[in-house]
Amino acid sequence: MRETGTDTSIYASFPVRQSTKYMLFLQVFRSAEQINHDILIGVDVGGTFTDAVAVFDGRIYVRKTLTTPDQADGAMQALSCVLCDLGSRQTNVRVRFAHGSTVATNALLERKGARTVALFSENFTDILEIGRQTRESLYRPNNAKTPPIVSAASTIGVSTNVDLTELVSQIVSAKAESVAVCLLRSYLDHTVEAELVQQLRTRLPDLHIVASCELTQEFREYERASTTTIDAFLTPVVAPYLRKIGNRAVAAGIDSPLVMQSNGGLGNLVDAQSHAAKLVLSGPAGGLIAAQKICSELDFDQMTCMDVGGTSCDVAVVQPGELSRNPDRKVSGLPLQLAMVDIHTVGAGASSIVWMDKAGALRVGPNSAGSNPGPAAYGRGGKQCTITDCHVVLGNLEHTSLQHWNVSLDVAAARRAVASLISEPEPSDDEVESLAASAIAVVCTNMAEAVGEVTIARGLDPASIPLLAYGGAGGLHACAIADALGCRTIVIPYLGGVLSAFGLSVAPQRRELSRTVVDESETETLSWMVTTAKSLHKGVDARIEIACDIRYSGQSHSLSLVYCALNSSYEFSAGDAQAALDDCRARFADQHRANFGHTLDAAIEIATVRVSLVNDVPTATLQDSVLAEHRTLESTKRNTTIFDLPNGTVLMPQHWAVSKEVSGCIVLEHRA
Amino acid sequence: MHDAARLQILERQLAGVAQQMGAVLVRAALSSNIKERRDSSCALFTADGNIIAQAAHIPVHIGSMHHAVAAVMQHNPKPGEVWITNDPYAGGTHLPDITAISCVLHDRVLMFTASRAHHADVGGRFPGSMSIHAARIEDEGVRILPIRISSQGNVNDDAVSDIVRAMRQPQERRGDLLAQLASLEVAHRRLPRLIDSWGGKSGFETSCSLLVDYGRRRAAAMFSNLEAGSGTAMLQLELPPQLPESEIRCSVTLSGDGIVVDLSGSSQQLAASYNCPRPVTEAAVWFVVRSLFDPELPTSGMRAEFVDIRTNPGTIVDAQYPAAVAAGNVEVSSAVVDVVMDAIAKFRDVPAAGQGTMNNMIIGNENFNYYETIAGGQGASSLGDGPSAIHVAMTNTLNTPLEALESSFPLKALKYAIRRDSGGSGKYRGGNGVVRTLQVLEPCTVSLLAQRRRTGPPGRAGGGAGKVGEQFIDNEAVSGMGSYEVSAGSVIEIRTPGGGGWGTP
Repeated sequence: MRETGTDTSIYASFPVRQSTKYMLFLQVFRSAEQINHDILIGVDVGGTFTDAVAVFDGRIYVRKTLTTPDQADGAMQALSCVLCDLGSRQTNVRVRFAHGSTVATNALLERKGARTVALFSENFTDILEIGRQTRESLYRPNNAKTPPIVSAASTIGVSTNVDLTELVSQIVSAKAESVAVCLLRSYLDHTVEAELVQQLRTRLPDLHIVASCELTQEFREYERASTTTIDAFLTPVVAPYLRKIGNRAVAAGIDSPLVMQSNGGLGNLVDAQSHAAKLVLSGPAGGLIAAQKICSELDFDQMTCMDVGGTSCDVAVVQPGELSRNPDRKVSGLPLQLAMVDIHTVGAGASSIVWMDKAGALRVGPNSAGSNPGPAAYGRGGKQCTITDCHVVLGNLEHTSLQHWNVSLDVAAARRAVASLISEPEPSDDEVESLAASAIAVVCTNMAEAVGEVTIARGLDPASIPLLAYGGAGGLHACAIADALGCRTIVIPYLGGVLSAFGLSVAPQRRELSRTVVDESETETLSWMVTTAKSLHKGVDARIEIACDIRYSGQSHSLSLVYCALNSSYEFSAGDAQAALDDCRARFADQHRANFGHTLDAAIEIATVRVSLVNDVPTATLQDSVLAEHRTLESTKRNTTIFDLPNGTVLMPQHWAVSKEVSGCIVLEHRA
Repeated sequence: MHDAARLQILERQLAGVAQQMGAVLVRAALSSNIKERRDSSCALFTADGNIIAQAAHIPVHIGSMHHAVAAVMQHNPKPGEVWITNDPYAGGTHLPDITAISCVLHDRVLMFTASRAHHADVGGRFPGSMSIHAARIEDEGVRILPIRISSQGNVNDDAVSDIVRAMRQPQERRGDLLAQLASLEVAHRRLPRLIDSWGGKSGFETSCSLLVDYGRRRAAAMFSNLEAGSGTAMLQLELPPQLPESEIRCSVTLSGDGIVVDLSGSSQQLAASYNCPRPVTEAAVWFVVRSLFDPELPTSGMRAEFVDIRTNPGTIVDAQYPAAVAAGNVEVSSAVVDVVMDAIAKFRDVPAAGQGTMNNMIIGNENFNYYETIAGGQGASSLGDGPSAIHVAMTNTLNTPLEALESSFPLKALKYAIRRDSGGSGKYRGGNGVVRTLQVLEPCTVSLLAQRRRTGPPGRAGGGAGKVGEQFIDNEAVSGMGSYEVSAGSVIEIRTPGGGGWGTP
């Protein structure tokens, strides 16, 4: 490991409440010319920890606190801690507070939202219950379908000549708190839908009422209806949280937070409060922004990134420029037709449970011990063997930074948990260790296959793409996963344990509108693009970005191509719009060949156009950053070097070597 | 490393390859059948032609595909070649399902990869190539005996053109075939590295044989835990009046060693398309075995030594040339599931019958082809109500979104709803069917192919039957087995059957 020269080194203690452990390290980086005078703060709330990262004056400050039952408490605590660390430096500077929250995600997973009534077209009121008519498990035909957010009993069919008074009284008698309106074909013409919503808002001013066209103007009625009902269901419960955190920020003397949206851009608090469906991937999106930054600083074309936490592993591919979006995503079994970062999640993490099936195959997950009781080694009553216990048995976590979080490891309990999977009564140490190593190999396979879902299935070869591993358990598994993928370069960021919060702090602001344009003339499309760009713009100093979902006429699945951003210092004209479409068309065939190996002799059509207003943050480069406080401890076991970063342990087998430390990352290369 | 872990790792990796193949196929395809309905499946096979991994797509495809691989193997395919076939008498299901098979050779390890997709038309006498008026296989379209269409990445355009020329919308057929080749390419790119990572030939083959042994152990463990029993059942097919009465007869004997399913007493094959190729019958029996006994049984455990299926060649469950087979694949296969379930129900707790049909609807003319299988009610079980509006057995295809079909075809959606109270009564209710109503905007041929139009799906343990399916053209009831010429503006309404109820109400 390289020795680091630092100008400051702080490991100070601050008064913190009981059970809230903190850690802090500084990172020095040589900022580019455009020294930003704002303090950029990102606060990310995860399942176990709430992280705050502040970027100011060439330094990065980090705080880690425990997540609180009301996320706002922990978030504000982390925020004030990190502001406190900044000390006197914060006078006369503006604070930009960016927030990533799992409030919307959790409300959806737990189905704790508002009492919602859905208004669908007459004769089509069952589209949610029918869904796509498939069963989730092929060989379990009697399993119940995922229940829709709004039941048939709470769905009202509306015809073109609906009696508004009658409709209003139905909504009132259903004691609705929220109303979702999604009419068939409204993606083509939403006049009727928009008018209906307008009238309802006048008559029912206290209710949250949302029209599908305000969220998405794309075809596929079930997916659009699902999106609309999710939004209606979540918004009334998420908005109060956002208001509260906004008020508390203002009380603390800083501006209301910007909120990370599922599309990887920060939205303002008011927009976020009006459409909570856009926040369900608010948590993981921040990590991808950071990954993207690292990708461009290291000058890679692409990176596969992998966030390994306690219960799940999120994988995605990033490249400089725009983040990949996936319009076909399901969350909690329900489709959401919104531009969301293309993250694939599998139930594999450090707390995943290891078990033996009936015919003697070693399985890992998808069940997890969570953080309570957690792995057996945490000594909180967990008995089942988890991946963490396997690492403990192998001695991989002896020097772990877990100690910072007040977790002491119970090695004996971990060994008992692993041994419980072996049929012999008194297994030897060798047997226990061999089983532990095998379980880790299994979980790494699950994670590697998850990477395959976002690379191979998209026509990318993971062997040729560097792997960025982060999250608390990223470094523990990175080399094994890279080996499984044939990948030869691994990047592990110093900030790996708090990468999402860091991503939030440097994320751009983004407002976006999209439209299905297949069934309209190009003139209409161009004029919509111009009008939309103008309406988004409103005098803000930001750039316009155009993305096209484009395909061969006849295909349903599109490739997404981005027309690089136009500086908005001048008016976005029809000519610019035309140039954007032409550029995407021109690049389509090559992209199709790259993904699928062939091109077709068929017309090319643009399915969806997205117009985004992007406000980038001029941040400094991470290029020369170093760890202020070097906490690395190294040891070697079984031909594997083990070293600790501030937020996670890295296992590096002999056939890997540290090639460089640059841009706040350790880069590992496969030897030979 | 532990053998227990090797198994899991290899199984997961191979299944991952199959899944990724499937994802590429769906994303590159042109026809609604593949891209919206996902009527396609991918799988991997060992050098001896045994299935080793599959992506969980369509049951009727998966239980039968190894026969298609065997048929191609007879032609001594060379590494890097892609062969296609849809021959129902050599491992195919029905003509629209075209299977592309390639062999991968790396470090002397030979593997076969297969990608099967339902093409919207294969040049039959009627649009969609699935009419009940077919009397012989030639009426159903182009029968492609195994033929090489690509070698070392060079597609034989002439061969492809010859095949697609005889079909409707040849450009779309070509695009879908190329999408199938793209999905095979995924395996070509991945398998060599995967084989290397297992230590090349010896290591990989040893691990594969461990995986096969594991599958065998899982299947053995599954059967040894089941209580022995035997039962018989009979199911009369619903057929157009000009055809002789025909039935499937089934006797089942379950023991600790496996299950014998004897269908040899079934009726002679028909001069219509209600004939199941044997691979389809096998797939249906395996569907019952997996869903009743162990939904998690690994693919490698689907071994003939445990499931002895007896049929007589030339019967409706073992079709021989020149039998037409389109309805056999979609409808008789559903009936095989029901009759085997029924026989097992004589000695075990089994869910009540589901809708027992795929409610095939094909609307088209020379300009377009729209094919849909419509969901219905699932039977209730001793554990709870049957789900509504769901595919119950041999298929699991998605519906075509109404907005997608309106934008692709000259059709307008008038209604799509749950068919309330169509599930059978009982302590637990059968699932409800659906109502789907479409208006055609051009003169078209409408072909319907369905069962459970005369007798509703029976309940079990005292539960009532689900409602029979019904269909109307311009409000006039028509048979669920027929082709109809309709004029622009006509309205077609399908009401699908409900599932049977379970237990006395």
